[in-house]
Amino acid sequence: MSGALAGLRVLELGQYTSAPFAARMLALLGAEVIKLEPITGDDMRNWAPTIAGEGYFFHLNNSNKKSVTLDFKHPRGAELLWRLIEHTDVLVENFGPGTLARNGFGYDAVNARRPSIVYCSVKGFGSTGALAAKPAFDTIIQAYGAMMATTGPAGAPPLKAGISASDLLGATSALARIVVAIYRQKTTGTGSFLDVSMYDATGFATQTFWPPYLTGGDPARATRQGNRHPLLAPHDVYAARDGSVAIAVETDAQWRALAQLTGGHELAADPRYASAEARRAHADELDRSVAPWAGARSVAAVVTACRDAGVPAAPVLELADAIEQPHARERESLRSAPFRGGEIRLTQLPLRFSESTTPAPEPIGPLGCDNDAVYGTLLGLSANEIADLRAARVI
Amino acid sequence: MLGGLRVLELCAGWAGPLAGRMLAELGADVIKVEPPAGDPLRAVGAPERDGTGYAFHLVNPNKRSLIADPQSSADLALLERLARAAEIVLEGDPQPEWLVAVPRPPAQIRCAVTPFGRTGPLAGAPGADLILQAITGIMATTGFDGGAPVRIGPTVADHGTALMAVVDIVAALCARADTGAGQAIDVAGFDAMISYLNAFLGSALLTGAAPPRQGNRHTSTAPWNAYPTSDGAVLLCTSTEPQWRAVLQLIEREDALADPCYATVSKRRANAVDVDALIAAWTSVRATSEVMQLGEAARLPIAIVAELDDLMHAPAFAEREMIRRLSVPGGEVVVPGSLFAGEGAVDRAAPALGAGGSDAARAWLAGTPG
Repeated sequence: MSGALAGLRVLELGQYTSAPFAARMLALLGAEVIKLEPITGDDMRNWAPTIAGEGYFFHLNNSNKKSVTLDFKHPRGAELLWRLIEHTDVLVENFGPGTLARNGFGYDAVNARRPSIVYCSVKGFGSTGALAAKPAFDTIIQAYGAMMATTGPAGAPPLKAGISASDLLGATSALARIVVAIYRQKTTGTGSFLDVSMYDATGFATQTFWPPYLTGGDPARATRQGNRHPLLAPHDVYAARDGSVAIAVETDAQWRALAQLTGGHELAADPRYASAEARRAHADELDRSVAPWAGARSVAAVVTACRDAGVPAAPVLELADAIEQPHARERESLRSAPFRGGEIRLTQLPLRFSESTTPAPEPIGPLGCDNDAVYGTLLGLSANEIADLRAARVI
Repeated sequence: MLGGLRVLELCAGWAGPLAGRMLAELGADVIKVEPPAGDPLRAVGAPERDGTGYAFHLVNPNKRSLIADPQSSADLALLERLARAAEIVLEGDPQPEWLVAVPRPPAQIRCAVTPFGRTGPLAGAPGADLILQAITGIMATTGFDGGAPVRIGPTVADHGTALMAVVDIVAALCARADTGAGQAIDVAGFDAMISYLNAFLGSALLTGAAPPRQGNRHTSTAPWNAYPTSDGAVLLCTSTEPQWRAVLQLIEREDALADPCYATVSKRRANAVDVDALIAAWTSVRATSEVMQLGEAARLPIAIVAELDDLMHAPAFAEREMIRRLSVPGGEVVVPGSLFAGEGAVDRAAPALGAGGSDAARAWLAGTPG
């Protein structure tokens, strides 16, 4: 078998994270992805930290793509973009609101020329609705989507998720929608417009906070509460002898198993803690039962005892330790690829297919390195025509 | 879009069933198999009017519920027939022993959604959103300067994993459309969260140490932070040169444009403390409303931090149908809408234990050999 999306061509008009992350995953699923960059390149190409003089973050978002330059605001550039679109199955973009439409490449115009196209616009607030015109970045959406309000210690100011969680959830929802639309395209031949909103995906992900908010319970449960969970307890980070350990009890059975460890049969059978709601209401008390138990042991001992009893637990790892742990190595979470005479480690597709193949991570080349292949081989332009476009700064 | 696709959901809790919910939104016929005591999630959250815990309603709309106990030979026979008739099987941890003994029909897609995957030293270990955030370093990216790691409140691991599972299942459907063959898929929350480390990986891989937690700053660009106002705070995020010029114009410090310390985005990030002080000096003597008005007029990405109450009352969120009221016996329950606007819909509340599953099972098995 080949890649799950082999034979499919994707045109990415993206920058930063949302559309590029989605398009990168399409490349790892086997699609051919052409990343169109302005002739000055994606802004992120130079962002620190750098490896061999190139932005590492850029490479994480853009491996396995072809780099093609194009100024589509130039009349000759616009004509080239139309020709590319005629060879494109999926177009994914995350320009500011309305940018592509203002330049003549809105969905209606593109659909008229290429009815089967899947056209995905990833926007902070989507392409419709009261906030659609507002410029947005990840953290702006984290703020509007109540992610910041629900993150951070109780009583402290709101805190952003360190990772660009709104970009990433938006990108993954864009990816899911694109793949569904590809399935439609394959099975019915029809195209789609996908109006993806990072705001929707972020607000959706706050759902565990909805029950205490909507049922009028303790208001402290409907906002940031450190490592506690609005519906579950014990669910926190505890100080062990030599570090921090996270324990998350999700079910009654897990509670009885943990209580057996920390307080014996009496605690496990205590009717005051028999239900999830009752446990959450008594979270302070339950934490007082877990803390001394964890505090008297090493992180490894706590984690092993919990896991053996079926209770979810893990060390709280700093990132450098997380990515080098044996499980990450065995799952090949990161893979090395040759890079500018040395090597670079890149993430790979976060799943394993039994049949479909996934390409090894391969860094994107220098800006415009695939111009000849795409404009020459795919569109059939001559070497002279390409040189002329380059001289006119169209590509 | 997935109208009528037969999905057998053999998992409980959050991530796997959330993937099942999305398939059901897209029209798939999802039978959720539950033990006689029900998915433990039914016991989480205050009971809604129908007696089911609120948490269960969040992730199980549009499905049907079938009670089956693999210890009973009649139930086991039914499960085995359903596992052969399904086009997609969603399984979780622990892997059902009986399922291992049912060979995957060639066209079937069998997807495991688990915390740690089916391979590697942690395969099968119990997990949860918090556990994945802790062990993959996601928590380590989140926190105030010098402070302890803190979890991202929204369950980013459960949501990222569920979305990734939908991607993989539908990608496998695309492959099946070409080849006729299904396959097995191993989706791990662990893998999804490592891929989400993204912007933080570069410095960890280059130096062996992660960048310190940085509160509301960005890893690579500045200005990007929450700034105090005379009556609160605003969030301002920039990355481009035009935005930097607009900020300096806004705060009446265009003199700083010539400062070589701020000449590029990477230099501004390296000098973020000074950059932030310039901005805070201006914002802290103005009201939030004034800063927002002037910032929006300058087309800058700027925000007030919304509490959950603000989100639930935001016209933009409601207009996009992200808040759904579903009927349940005795009233209604409010759950998030579909992320598949236009193609997906959330229109039936989560089933009562055992509701609808037997009928669905009969329809699946009509005409198939016993």
